[in-house]
Amino acid sequence: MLIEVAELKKTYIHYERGGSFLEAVKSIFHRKAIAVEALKGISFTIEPGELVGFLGPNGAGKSTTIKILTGVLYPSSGRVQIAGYVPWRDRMKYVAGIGAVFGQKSQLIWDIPPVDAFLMNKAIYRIPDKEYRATLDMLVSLLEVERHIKTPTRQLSLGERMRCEFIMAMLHRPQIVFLDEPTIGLDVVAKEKIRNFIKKMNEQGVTFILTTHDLDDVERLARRVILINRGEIVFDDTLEALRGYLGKKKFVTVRTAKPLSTAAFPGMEILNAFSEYQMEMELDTETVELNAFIRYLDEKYEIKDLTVEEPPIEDILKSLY
Amino acid sequence: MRRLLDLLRLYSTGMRIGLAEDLAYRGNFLIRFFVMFLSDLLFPLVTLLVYRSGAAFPGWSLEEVLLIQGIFMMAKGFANLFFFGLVWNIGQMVRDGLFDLMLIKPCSVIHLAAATSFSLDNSGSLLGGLGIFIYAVSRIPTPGPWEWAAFFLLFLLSLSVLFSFSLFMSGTLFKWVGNSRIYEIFNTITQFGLFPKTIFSRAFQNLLTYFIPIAMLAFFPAAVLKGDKPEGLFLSGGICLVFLFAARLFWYAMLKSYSSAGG
Amino acid sequence: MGKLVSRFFNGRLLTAVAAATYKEWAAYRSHILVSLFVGPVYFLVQYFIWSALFQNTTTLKGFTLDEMLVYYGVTTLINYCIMDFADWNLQMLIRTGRFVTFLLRPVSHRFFALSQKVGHRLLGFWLEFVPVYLIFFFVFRLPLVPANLFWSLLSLVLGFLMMFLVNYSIGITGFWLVRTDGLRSFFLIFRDVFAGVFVPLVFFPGWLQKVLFFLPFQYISYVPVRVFSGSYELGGITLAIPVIVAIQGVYVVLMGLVSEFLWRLGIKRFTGVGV
Repeated sequence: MLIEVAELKKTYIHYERGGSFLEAVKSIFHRKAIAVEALKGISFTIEPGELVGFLGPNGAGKSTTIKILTGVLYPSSGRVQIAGYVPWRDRMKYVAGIGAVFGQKSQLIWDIPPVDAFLMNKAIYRIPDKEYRATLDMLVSLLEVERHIKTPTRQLSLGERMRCEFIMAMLHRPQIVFLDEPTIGLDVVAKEKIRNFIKKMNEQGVTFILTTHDLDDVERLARRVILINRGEIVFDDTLEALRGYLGKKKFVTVRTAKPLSTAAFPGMEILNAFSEYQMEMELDTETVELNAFIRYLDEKYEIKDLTVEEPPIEDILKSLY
Repeated sequence: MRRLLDLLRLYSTGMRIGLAEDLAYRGNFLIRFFVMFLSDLLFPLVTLLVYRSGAAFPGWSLEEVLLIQGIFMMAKGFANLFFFGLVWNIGQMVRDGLFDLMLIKPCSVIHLAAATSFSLDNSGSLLGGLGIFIYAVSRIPTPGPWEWAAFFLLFLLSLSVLFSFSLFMSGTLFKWVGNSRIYEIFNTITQFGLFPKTIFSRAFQNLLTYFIPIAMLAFFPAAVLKGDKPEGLFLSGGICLVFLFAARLFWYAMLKSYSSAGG
Repeated sequence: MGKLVSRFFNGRLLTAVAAATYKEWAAYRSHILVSLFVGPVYFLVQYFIWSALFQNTTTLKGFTLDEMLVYYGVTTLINYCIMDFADWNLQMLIRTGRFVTFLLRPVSHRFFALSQKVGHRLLGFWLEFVPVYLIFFFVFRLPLVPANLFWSLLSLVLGFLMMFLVNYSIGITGFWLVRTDGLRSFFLIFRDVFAGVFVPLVFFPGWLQKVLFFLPFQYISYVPVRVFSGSYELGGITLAIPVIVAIQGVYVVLMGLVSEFLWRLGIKRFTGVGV
């Protein structure tokens, strides 16, 4: 067992702050405390080599969990054991073996090329020269950034920068890597490159813990999903199990040449009728097959435009709650 | 020994990167260097103007006052160059929510914050102070080897006081997020160190010697260099170490409170 | 005439922007209240310095000890009324590209920034000026009564405008330079030294005083401070209070023209380069 989390609780204390000048002065002497339970006692274990997706809406307790697991935050109570360490107690020793990429927090240095910024981590993690060379070469060719690492960071595109962030985070060959929204704001091609990289590293035995809002990330990468909401784990199983749990729903928005009928159709429900020619509907693909349904629409109404979407993550959570 | 080497490597890498950043905007860098140099000459300039008007601090010649101010600037310049940037660094990171990135690194956050804040701009400050110091030393009776030895020892203590201040300030910024006025507070408090201690009232002299050892910033080093044996020197030296110890305690307490509050 | 006035002054905009700025900054009360510590402690150091310097003499460059302390006290207080970050703000807007949004609005950014300053300083008046004044008056027993209230207020308002125009003109350099923090701090040091913030300008060498008389800086702080105590002297020139305030007024207009000129050059450059 690589990661063991048991009965993890975290309660934040906030202080009420008055708006007026007088209240601000008062608050120096006496403040009203408000306790917020961010984690209500969660437990799970992760085996070496797993790739676990951590999902949940904003404020669910996701980032609190990650912060505790990375040794940044002290929990209120509970037990965490990762690779033999208690993260917040053995911080220095523990973090030498982990890596982290935060989609919205850059570790690179804005005005200088990534290859120079890497040297900082080389010094911080005390990586010997030979090992550093080898790892850098391996990561650079996997991520295809031979040219980019020598360009000042500020001149890189977001996708190029993110790939360099991965190098920065993995130069010391961590066995556990935490990813927080690693593909946020990236275009499809850039996302794909990053996902392929994560897959390859995972095949080499690196354990990944991925938090994201992007369901695509989870679908392409994770075999196991942990859903967290209001400080509790509401689901912890494989992706297939999640699908089953959900029913197979798709959202279809269609624009047609002929007026659409609003008559009932088994397995279909109209969510929004923008006009006679344009509607948004929810499809239960267990009752009616998507391909067949589209064919039916086209034959009868002549499709001019069509989009098919997965239910957003918030909906999944709603249905689970 | 290995740890010391690791630390040296961390700082030298930080310096290389800092230098590379400086050179990214060469023009701005040169101006900033020059500004640091100029702003350091400010207090000596005022002192010069005042002395030229015929006034003087009783018992202190112009050169002797410049000696204090030169040492003060050198100490601050040295601190700015090598570690004081940690205050700004930590303050910004806490404000922008990036401080967590420092906690996931396997080394001392204080050293990491100091090493990654290196900027050669600040050498302007060091050079300005050094210039005044050399001028002032050449105008006072030549110090002997013992005076020089004592001076270097006290200069180290002076740096330790500034390091303590940097810990108090950055520790405060964990709670008082984004308040850049902390520098004003610092500059105001340390202003007492720019002038001969003897001009202050007894109560303030005691405060500056035995409580917040600001007299150690420049007054004591200057006094021993010109051959004085100022009272309270030894006790004040001890206080500097206590001050450093207290600063470390404070800083780690604030870090712990940050880590339990989640920023 | 009315049209001309409305180009440079818009009362409704002024009150709206000032009120918004006041509220925005009110959230940073604890930052502003730092002045209650910094101001008095800074003054305390000056008190010790000048008390020591005056031990063997009763006057220095025409100042008695009490007058010197009033000089520093009033300098601190006036600064609370007139300081601003117009330079920093404008350069930040240009650098981040947010300045474009102002070009799209039918208001002069300069007037907008001035209105912001009014709101910001109104807050400073309550949180900095009033408490520090009371501390100076009651704790340090500084006789902080203006020689003539009318001229003092007028000179203060002119100093307020002068500070703004100088800072705003420094901000305009952002149209030409990418990284300007170095140049800005360079200007700010000059501004403060030559405005008499650190030492009364009469301590400077005679030739420099004569030069300083013609530069805009003394009209920011030195002139209002001297008008407050009711006697003006620089570079061997002694002037009656109404005369120096009138000159101050002329200089504010001149500085307004300079900033307008720089502004037009800057805008040309900004739009010429393309957004």
